[in-house]
Order: sequence, then C-alpha cells, then structure tokens
Amino acid sequence: MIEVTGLTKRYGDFTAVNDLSFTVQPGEVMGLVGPNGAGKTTTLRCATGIIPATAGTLHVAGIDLAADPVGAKRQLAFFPDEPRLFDHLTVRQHLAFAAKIYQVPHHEARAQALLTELEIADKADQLPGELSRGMKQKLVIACGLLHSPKVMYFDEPLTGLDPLGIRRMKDTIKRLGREGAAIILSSHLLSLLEEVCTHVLIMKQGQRIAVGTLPEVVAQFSAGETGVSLEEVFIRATGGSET
Amino acid sequence: MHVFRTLLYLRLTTLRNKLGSQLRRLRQPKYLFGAMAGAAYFWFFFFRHTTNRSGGPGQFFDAMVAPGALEMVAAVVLTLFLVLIWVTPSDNPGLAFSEAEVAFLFPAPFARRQLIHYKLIDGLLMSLLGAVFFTLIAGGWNAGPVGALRKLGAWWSLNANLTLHQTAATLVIARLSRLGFRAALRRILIIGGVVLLLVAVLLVAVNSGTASVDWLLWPARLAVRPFLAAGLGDYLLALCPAFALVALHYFWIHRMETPFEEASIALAQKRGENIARARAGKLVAFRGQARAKSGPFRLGDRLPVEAAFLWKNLMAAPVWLNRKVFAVAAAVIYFGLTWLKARPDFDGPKIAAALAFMALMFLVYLLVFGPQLARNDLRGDIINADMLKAYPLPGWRILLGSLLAPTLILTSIAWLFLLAAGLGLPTTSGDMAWFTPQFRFVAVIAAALIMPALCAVQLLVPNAATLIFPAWSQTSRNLSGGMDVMGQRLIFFAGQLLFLVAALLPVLLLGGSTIFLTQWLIGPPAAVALAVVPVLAVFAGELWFGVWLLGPRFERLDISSELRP
Repeated sequence: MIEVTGLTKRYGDFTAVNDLSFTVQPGEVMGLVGPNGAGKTTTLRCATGIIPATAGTLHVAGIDLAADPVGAKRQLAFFPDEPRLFDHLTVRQHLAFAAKIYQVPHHEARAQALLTELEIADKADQLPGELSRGMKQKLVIACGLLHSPKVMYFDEPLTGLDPLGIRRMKDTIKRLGREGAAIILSSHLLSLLEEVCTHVLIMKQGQRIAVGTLPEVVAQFSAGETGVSLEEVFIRATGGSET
Repeated sequence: MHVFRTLLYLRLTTLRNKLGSQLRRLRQPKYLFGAMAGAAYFWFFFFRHTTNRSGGPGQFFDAMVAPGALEMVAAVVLTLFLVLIWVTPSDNPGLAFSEAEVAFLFPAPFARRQLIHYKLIDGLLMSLLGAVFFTLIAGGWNAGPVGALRKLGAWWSLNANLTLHQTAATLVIARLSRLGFRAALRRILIIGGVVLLLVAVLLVAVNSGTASVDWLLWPARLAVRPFLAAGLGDYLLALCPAFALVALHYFWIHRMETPFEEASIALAQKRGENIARARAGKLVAFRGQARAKSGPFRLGDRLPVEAAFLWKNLMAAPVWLNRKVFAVAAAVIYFGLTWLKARPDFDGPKIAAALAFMALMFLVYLLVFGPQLARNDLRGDIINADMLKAYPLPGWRILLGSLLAPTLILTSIAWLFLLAAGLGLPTTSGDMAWFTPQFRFVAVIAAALIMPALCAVQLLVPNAATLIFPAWSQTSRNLSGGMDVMGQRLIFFAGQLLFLVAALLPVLLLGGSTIFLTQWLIGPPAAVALAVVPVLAVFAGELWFGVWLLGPRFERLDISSELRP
C-alpha cells in the first residue's frame, strides 16, 4: 500500500507539490496525470525516497519512508522514463548487481525466470550498448522486479517502445496489479491510463485536482453527460492549460 | 559491508568487462593499430628509462619534489587548491553519481549515510587508481619496486585527502545553503578571510620570521610530506599522519548526513547530457543550457545556400565568439601596442616585441591545433548525416558550407595574432635590415589574405578524414578511452599533419620561387605581394579538388553501416 499524507515539496520559494494526499491499495493501479510542471515527477521521486519531502508523511507497504527509509525502499521499485544502465555491465550482471543491492539470496533462478518472461534471456551476456531501447527498458523492469516489490512506480513507461513492447508493458503492469502490487503510473498517455489503471490522480501546479476510481473522476467532471472520455475530463479538470 | 560489496562488485565487474571488450576489439585492425601506437607512445615516454634507471619524465618530478623549501611551496599550492574547493562550488553542489548509479542506488534500500559511505569508498578506490597513474607518469617505476610503492603511497594519500576534502566541502556547503548561507556570501567571506590572513601572516613574518606562521600550513604540509621524505623510516613517519588525515576526513564525512540527493540528480543529468553531447561531437556545455541568440547575420533569400550552413554553424559557436568581441580585441591590440611602442621610457617597445613574438607563437599553435578545436563543421554534423543528405543539395555544397564557419572563426583569430605581430615586431638592422616596416606591412597583409584559404584547406583535412574513415573519426570521440583509442587519436593526428604538409608543399614551392625570382626586379615587398596570387591559386585549386572529390563521397556515405561496431 502507498499512503501519502500532506506531501509538500518546496525548492526555495517554489512549491512543486503542495499538501498532496492519496492512497493506493494493493492491487490498485493509480494513474498520475497532469500538465507539464504539475509536480508528477517530484511526487514520484518523493514517494520513492529518492529526494526528501519538505513536509508530509509517506508510507510504503506500511513503513514510514522518513523513519525507516531502508525498510520502505526494500518494498518498492522505481522504473524511470529513461533506462539508465551501466555501460560495462551485461544484462545478467545488472541483475546480479540489483540482487546485491536488495540482498536477494540465490537470485540466479529468479533472474533467469524474469529474463525468460521478459523475452531477453538470449541477451543475457550483452552490454547495454548492444540492446535496443525496448530491451533496455525490459532489463530495468527485470532488475526492479527481482526483489519482488509490493509497491511500484512507473514514470512514462511506454516512452520509446514499439507497438509490441507497448502491448507487453501494458500486460505486465496489469498483471503486477492483479498479483497484488500497489502501482503508481505517471503518463501523458491518457489511453494507457484508461486501459491499465483502476484509479486516477489529476494534478496541476502541485495540487491535487481530482482523485478516485476512473468512473468517479469521470463523473466528477462530466456534469451529467455520458460517454465523456478521460481526455475530455483531463482538459476540463486542468482548464486546458499548464498554468 | 553491504555497501562495500555492492561497490566492489560494480567496479570490479566494470573493470573486467571494460578490459575484456578492449581486448576483443583488438581483432579489428583499426583498434589493433591504435593499441600498437598507444603502447609505443607509453613505452617511449614512461617505460623507456626503466632499464637504465635514469632519465625519463620522473627526473623532472623528482627535481620538483626535492626536500627543503619545496615542502612549503607545495603546502602553499595545496592550501590554495583547498581554498578553491570551498570557493568555486555553487549554492547546491551535489555528490557526483552517474545517471545509472542514481537510477539504481537512490531508490534502493540504502540509507543516506550508506550512500555517502558508498561515495567515500569509491573516492578512495578512484584516488588509488589516480595514484597508480601519477606514479606511472612521474617515473615512479624508475626507482624500483620499493621506490614505486613509496610514490604510490604518497600519491594515494594526497589524492585521497583531496577527494575526501572535496566531498566534505560539498556536504558542508549544501548544509550551509539550506540554512540560507548563499554562495556569494560564502565566497566573499572566504576570499576576504584569506586576504586578511595573508596580510596578517606577512606582518607577523616580517616581525617574527616565517617559523611563527608555519602552523598555518600544517595540515597541507602533512599531506605533501611523504613526497619529500628521504629515508624509508622518514617516509613511514610522514605517511602515517597523511593517512591519519584521510581517516579524519572519512570520519568527518561519515558523521554528516546532509541531504544531497536533489543536487546529485541534477548533477548526474548534467553530466549525462554532457557525455551525450560529447558523443555527438558537440562542445560540452560547462554552464547551464544553451541559450537562444540572434543570428550572426541576416540570412537573406539571395545568399547562396552555403551561407545557411555558415549561419547555422556560427550559431552553434560559443557566445563570446562574435563580431563585437573581435572588434574590441582588435582595438585593444592596436591601441595597446601603439601605446607601448611609444613608451621607450619603461621598455615599452621591448614588451611590444615580446607580445608580438608570443602572438606569432600562438598563430602557429592556432594553425596546428585550431582545426582540432573548431569542430562546428561536418565533424559535428556527421551524426546528422542522414538529415543533411535528405537536403536537395549536392554533397560538395554541403561540405563547402560546413567548412565556412570554422574557417571564419580561425581566420578571425589568426588576424588578431597577425595584427599583434605586425604592430609589435621591432625595427631590425644588420642582417635583418630587409625587414623594413614597409616589408612587414606587406607581409602581414599577404598573410592575412592567405589565411582564409589556409584555414579552409586545413579544415578540409579532418573533414576528409571524417568522410573517408567515419568509424575512426567516431571512435576518436569515444569517451571510454583505452590505449587503443589513444593510439587511434595519435595516428589520426599524425595523418592530419602529414596531409597538411603535403598540401602546403606546392604552396611553399610556388610562393617561395615567386618571391625568389621576382625580388631582384621589383623588391622584396612587392615580391611578397605578388606571391599571394599563386599561393591563393594553389590553395583554391586544392580546396576545389578536395570539395569535388569529397562531395560524392558524402553522398555515398551510409552512416548507419559505417558506425556499426
């Protein structure tokens, strides 16, 4: 479970995220949407403990991120929009490195299963420079899943993927949700959110505009109309501008 | 231990894979020849003297670190360096992590203190590698295994102290910034404090001798003392406090738990962007993002298409390379040297002459190395070759257009040096009586006229190399380095010099013979002026031939297959 209460993040005088609260239960996939500069990435970074929050509390799988960052981080995985890999570690060595970080004992079997599942087993001894972007993305996912996290954060997971990769990524996220992970997914692709997410959180200028299940949020902005798309909801909710 | 094991795995695996891939790529001739050239270079400069235990660059360093007063000098230099470590950082400096380290380690179950610990151990490992390198280039191997180990220990303790001190400074500055202590105030206070201290030291030293202020340099002296110790016993006695200083730094940093993550992420992103820019053959942006600027000239409809390339590539040049700066520089040179020559009362003409000779020296450097630095031509655009090839233009026009911007930049700088040389050179007599002011004037004008063609021909050489050997050209900007890549760069540079000599030979022969044959009839100044015509004709011919030859080559270039590893 992800529990965010009163999250605030300030950079000097600028408030990137202001008093944000929401909860993601196990099995839920929450779509985080908002115009550029809404504070989505900052929210994700705070929620993963990558950067400290200015105020508020964050619980990951019931563990307070501020009080026990190591324990909380053990329960989560973060998948950034751009796969950042070590130039001189092979696919298999990346997994071994991740296993060392998360102290996963006897990781080899699990790593091999993940590589097979993500269809990169034949690339196990290749360096990142020899992989396509989609393959790199798969490697990042394999590294993130190695320690069986209960909480996952995806930042623009479809960037740079081909249609087949997109299909597989959607299936993976849905499957992980079904298996009981609490997932936050940040994306500009509203069709992805409609297809994959159970819940949605709309942000603008660091503030929460709407949060709830997809039908709840649609109902909030449809003003009684039927068949209103999430895109239309997004435009109405954000006023159709970034500011 | 968890952090240590993680770091050790990462570094050792990286090292093993890096060496493995470098060895594997020796199967390709371009890397094999590069490695041979690199190995020969290393042997010649660093190992050649190990057999006779004399000579080599190590002697230079040994001379530098002779005991005695040098300890004081080295300590002063080190102290100044430490002051810079505290003065130069911005408000929120970050600990240096790579983008991959940020992606893997920051969300990982590591406490902040563990991440700092990771950086500390990494700093110690990297400073050890640096120590091996410095021991090598300082000729440490010449003194046998014990001598080499002594140098290694000295360099390691110094590197480690510097690295850890920088880490400590980063964290302290970040903490001060969070408390509202901004960079400007910090710099004023530190620089002001140092100046006041220097004044106080001078006053005390004048009254009581330097011994009374020796303690000020005490920590720095501890760090440099292992270099200067005479016997092995002295060395060990000197090394212990130096490593104790390392331990103190370690303890100090480990106690700090200042938030550094945001600044480190920003720093990692910036470094990643710079690496990507360098791999794309572009200049590294040291400060901030590129800014929009107005065009260098109006790109009118009537201008030839080559002007568009000139316009585009000038926009990519550093912002300080503009007409205004050149005009101001020319004015400063003109009025400055004219004023100096009119002031014999304090040896003004001699200073002007010295500046003129320096300008000539810089001109030679510019002509040799300038084409390597001014790269806003096809070398920078080769990565965009597919896009350029899609333009409805023949290859030769694209190449010609690409050459214009660096030619203009190098020519402008060369003209400034020529101006300084022409104004500052002294009036001669005796054997040099022929070097009259009139002759000097004509020679400078002639050189200025030739300069654009000379620069363009020189730039043609590396551009030709890029088109004929794009894979070599691409690997020469390989940031991962290695002896093979270093050797490739050496071969590349030697090849360019060779081509340059070949291009200059007919020019020198024709220009020289014109001057030799006609000076008896029309006098040296007029002969030099006359020689400009054949020289320019030869350069124009070479340029035309090069562009004509390389244009189709550019059209046939399949960059995707050429750059495949």
